[in-house]
Amino acid sequence: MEKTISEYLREQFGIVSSLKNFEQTPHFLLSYDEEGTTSEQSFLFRHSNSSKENKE
Amino acid sequence: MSNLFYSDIQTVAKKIKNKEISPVELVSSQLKRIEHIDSKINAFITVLKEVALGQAEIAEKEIMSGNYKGPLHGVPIAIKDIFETKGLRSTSGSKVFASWLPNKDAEVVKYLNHSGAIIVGKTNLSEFALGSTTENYHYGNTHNPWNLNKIPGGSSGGSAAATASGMCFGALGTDTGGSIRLPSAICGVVGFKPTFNLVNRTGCFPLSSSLDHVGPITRTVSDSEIWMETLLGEKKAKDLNIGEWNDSVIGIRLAVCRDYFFDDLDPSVEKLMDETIGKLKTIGIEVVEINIDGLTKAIEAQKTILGAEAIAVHKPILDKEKEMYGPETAYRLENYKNITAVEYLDSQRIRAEFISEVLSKTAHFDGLITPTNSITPYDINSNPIENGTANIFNLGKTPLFNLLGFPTLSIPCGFTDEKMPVGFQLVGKPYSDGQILGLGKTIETLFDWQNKLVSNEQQLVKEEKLL
Repeated sequence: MEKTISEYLREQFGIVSSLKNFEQTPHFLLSYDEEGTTSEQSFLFRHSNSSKENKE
Repeated sequence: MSNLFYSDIQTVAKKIKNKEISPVELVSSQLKRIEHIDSKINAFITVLKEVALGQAEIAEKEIMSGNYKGPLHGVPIAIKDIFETKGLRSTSGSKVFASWLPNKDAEVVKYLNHSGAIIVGKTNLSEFALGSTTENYHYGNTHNPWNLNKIPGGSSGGSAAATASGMCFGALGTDTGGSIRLPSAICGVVGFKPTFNLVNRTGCFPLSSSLDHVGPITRTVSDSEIWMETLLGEKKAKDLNIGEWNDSVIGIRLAVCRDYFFDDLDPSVEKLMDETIGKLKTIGIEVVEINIDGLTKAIEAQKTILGAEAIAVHKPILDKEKEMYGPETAYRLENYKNITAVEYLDSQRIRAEFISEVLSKTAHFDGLITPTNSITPYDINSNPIENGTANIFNLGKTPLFNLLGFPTLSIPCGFTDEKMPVGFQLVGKPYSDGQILGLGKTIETLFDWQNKLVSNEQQLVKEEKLL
């Protein structure tokens, strides 16, 4: 029978906890700003498509 | 039909579009080939015979009625068994998920299905993608098609071996420390790790959420471009200039950093790298040596981040069901429990500094060039489980580009003295995926690799009596 990953783990092994989050495939981190560099403060990866040309 | 097994996608797509071959014939022939040779290579965990034939019939009807969807329509492909497939076993190479039938497809699987590609099977991998050899305790070892005693690299070893041995026209992989690029190089095919988070990861079982990337393993760079257009969708691919390379290398400048990236190379790999750089110069690409600071710290940060994020995912299962894990996976995950939150956060800070350092040092360049694999791959079952963490760093120069998140393409460039394939990496800036693929297409013409794949087929047949 088809199941979500959390349903499978709960029913098969009795595991709940944070594994519920698997459905969202948790990810965070990394941001490249408009210059193509990173912000040390930011842990949120933005989908900013840096179009600035770094080459001189 | 057998002369098509090593064709690129463009060739086979043209034949399908012109109705010279039918998807049903092609898929049937591909399934027969898998049946014949996969007992020796073990590239697949699950072969989707009935599903694939059903999809092929649908594709055939669509094409015959004039509804041709594009270059993957009717083309047999494979996916690493770490992606959810609705109603079809999705193991992640583990015993834990041996009987899991997901209730939905991963996003990338939806895109591939939408393109009309035919998924013929789900490929073998290191358990939970945690490994670089594809020696799988539960589903058996995958063998390298160039030498069946050798590992194919990993963790996407099944995808690379299936592509290299003509069992599919490319396969989907994941890459957390080199798991697309390393097996691609070792099996003599092309592997592309796009910019971090560019390809949707929903429905892909995580290993390390800030290092995981999804991308294709193919026989040519042009094929990788076709895959990326499908995985990103038309608009996003166009925004990234994928498929819009003008074939000119005038003004292209590549950087080479010999520190770390050229350390501990097999002499034959070092020689090939120097020859490759020489070839690039002959077509007008400028290659300049640079220094990058912070490499040692960055390597340690990569290991810490991977370990911390992996154990965060696995701890609830490991604590309760440790016997379900293979010995190497359990050993590595247990060790990761010792990583502290302070070490993890410090590693992320080091990572941010390293990204800034590399962007700054390569600001006047189009990209970097490095080896992919450093050495001839190990014999299967020759490496103790305690070496697991070190394997990826011993086998290749791939992990730092996961820490950076930059697009990285591995292209075959020759053989070691033991006649095993070698690849090199072209590394771009964030979101320069289109340029890196385009440049890769021009560069791969210098190596005439497709004929070498076909010649290996003769060797396979002769030595192993596979067919």
